[in-house]
Amino acid sequence: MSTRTGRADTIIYLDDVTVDYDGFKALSRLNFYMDRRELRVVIGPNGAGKTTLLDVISGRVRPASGRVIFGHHTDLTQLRENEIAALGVGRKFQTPSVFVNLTVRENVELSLRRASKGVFATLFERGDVDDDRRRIDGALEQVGLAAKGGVLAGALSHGEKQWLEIGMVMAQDPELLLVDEPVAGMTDEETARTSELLLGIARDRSVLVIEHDMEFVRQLGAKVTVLHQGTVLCEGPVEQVQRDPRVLEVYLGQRRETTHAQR
Amino acid sequence: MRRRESIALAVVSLVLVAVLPALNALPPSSPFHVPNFTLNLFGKFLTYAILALGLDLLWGYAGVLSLGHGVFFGLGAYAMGMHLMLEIGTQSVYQNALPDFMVWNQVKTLPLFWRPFHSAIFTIVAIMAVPALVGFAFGFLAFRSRIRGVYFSIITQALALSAWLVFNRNEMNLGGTNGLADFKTIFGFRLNQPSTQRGLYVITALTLIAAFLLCRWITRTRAGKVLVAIRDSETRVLFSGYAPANYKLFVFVVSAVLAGVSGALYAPQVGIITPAKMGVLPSIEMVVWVAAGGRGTLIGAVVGAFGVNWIQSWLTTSYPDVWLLFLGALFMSVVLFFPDGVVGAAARLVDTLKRLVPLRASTPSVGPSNLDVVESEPTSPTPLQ
Repeated sequence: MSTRTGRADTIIYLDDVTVDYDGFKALSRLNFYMDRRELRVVIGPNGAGKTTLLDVISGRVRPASGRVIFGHHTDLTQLRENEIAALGVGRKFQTPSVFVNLTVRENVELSLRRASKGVFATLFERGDVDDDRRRIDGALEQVGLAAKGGVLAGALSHGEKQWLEIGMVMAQDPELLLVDEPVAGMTDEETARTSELLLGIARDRSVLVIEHDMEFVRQLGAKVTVLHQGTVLCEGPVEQVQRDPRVLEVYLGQRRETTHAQR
Repeated sequence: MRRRESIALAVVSLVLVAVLPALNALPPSSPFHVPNFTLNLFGKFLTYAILALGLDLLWGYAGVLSLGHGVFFGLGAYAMGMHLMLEIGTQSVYQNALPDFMVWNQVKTLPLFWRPFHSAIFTIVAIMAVPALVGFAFGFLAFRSRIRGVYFSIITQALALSAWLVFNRNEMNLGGTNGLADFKTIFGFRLNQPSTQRGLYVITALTLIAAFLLCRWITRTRAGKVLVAIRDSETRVLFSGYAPANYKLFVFVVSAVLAGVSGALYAPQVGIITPAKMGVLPSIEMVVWVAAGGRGTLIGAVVGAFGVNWIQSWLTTSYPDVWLLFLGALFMSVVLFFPDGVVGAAARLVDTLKRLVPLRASTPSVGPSNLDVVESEPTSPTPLQ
């Protein structure tokens, strides 16, 4: 692992990270790194530490030990969530979280990357209205909601809310996107659109996706990391990971058991 | 829409600021004469409306429910009251330079913290600065510790209770249970003169208009949208690069200052301020005004403060036994049937009528949604969060 520390094209590097919830190690001496413009999928059984991994990167959870290096040398473990967001780490939550009492455009407008997002800046700054409009249009175009700009976000369908939130994260112009189970509850058609969307985004940004849906993982065709009990079990292309006996045991094996149990 | 709203605002302002006091100045024999009592009553309602605006900004927009705004109201009222007590001087019952209750309590010298209140300028600054500082300290600690929702409401209630207990103590040298009363003059003007009361009324009306414009400006900036966003999803706001705690602290302080100003205008018009006005019960009543009028709409806060108190003053004089039952019924019916208050219900009614009678089909339904009423209409927020 140490040989990877200095690589110039690493976007995020978790070095020996442990997260301890009252004795339960959600992450246990985890080492994980991702390249710039890489699309990575993290899978693993429930409780493997997938969401905790995103929590650590985005600042929601402070690890008991270890470092989280963003870009060349920024240690994220000392920063607050909004500071990490301002640095260029965007996070899309599992359940759609949008501002239901604001319009779709306003949702994106608030998300736009700005020099300052302090109280007095937002009170007094007018900003470049034309530039804002262009950036909002761009984000809405990308997620296919251009026609719905004036609609209240609360009136969108589940899938549209998910896309809006992705659009909002895109408006933050992040270098790294963290996406937690984006296709949960989506139809097959919506899932296919979402994978296209994420593949498009990954052309010039790094995207880290957590997913359960193996069909969706295959659609993305990206490198897969399997987490198990808070550490990396194995990494590689989808086909290789799916054949790995260890993975079959902890992940697919367990799934077979649960399907048996359901019957 | 914006134009029509401005015209409506100007008309209402004119009536409140100019027409009513002018009618009051007419001789009592005139059929259009507005009695002193009525004008004074309206003045009191308007002070409440100032407070309701701030509370609405906090609760209706940012979704932060404070059950302790009576404290800030009381702080402003007491600051003004202390100055008025000192203005009495030797015209008091005991003809001592000290306020009567101090003579009664055998206090020999004016306590140190009373002394600056001899100055009118200091008093005016304190009316805003004391609630602001208390609000800042309280809000800073609460919001930094990420206390939110019901937990925040409960600790604001605790704040109201403890403030009430503290102000009731005679040792505080603030008049104990009886509070501050028997004011004679304000900045040299005799309070028992109708012209002084009329002047106070006009100042209150102007302050209300200024407060309304301030709140409207805040809600229309991007910061105002951030406040609504915090109500919808605080986590999303945080992960969009904003610090929600700072925004909540900002509106909390703004609302505390408005409550303080409201209290300061209340004291000279009503003539008394006691701890009973800053406890748990009055703080909850303030929330009822906003809820009944329509939270999330600034007009709603004003309508609620005015309407509920008008009904209260009518009921407590005509049917004194009914008032508390009515208050309870009002709160329950708002929670059950009108979660967005009178203004919200009216907006929905107008909307339904428009849909039934498409008078001007070309009117775009999604326009600049700057009219507060329209903005909050489509959703019915949960009554308490």
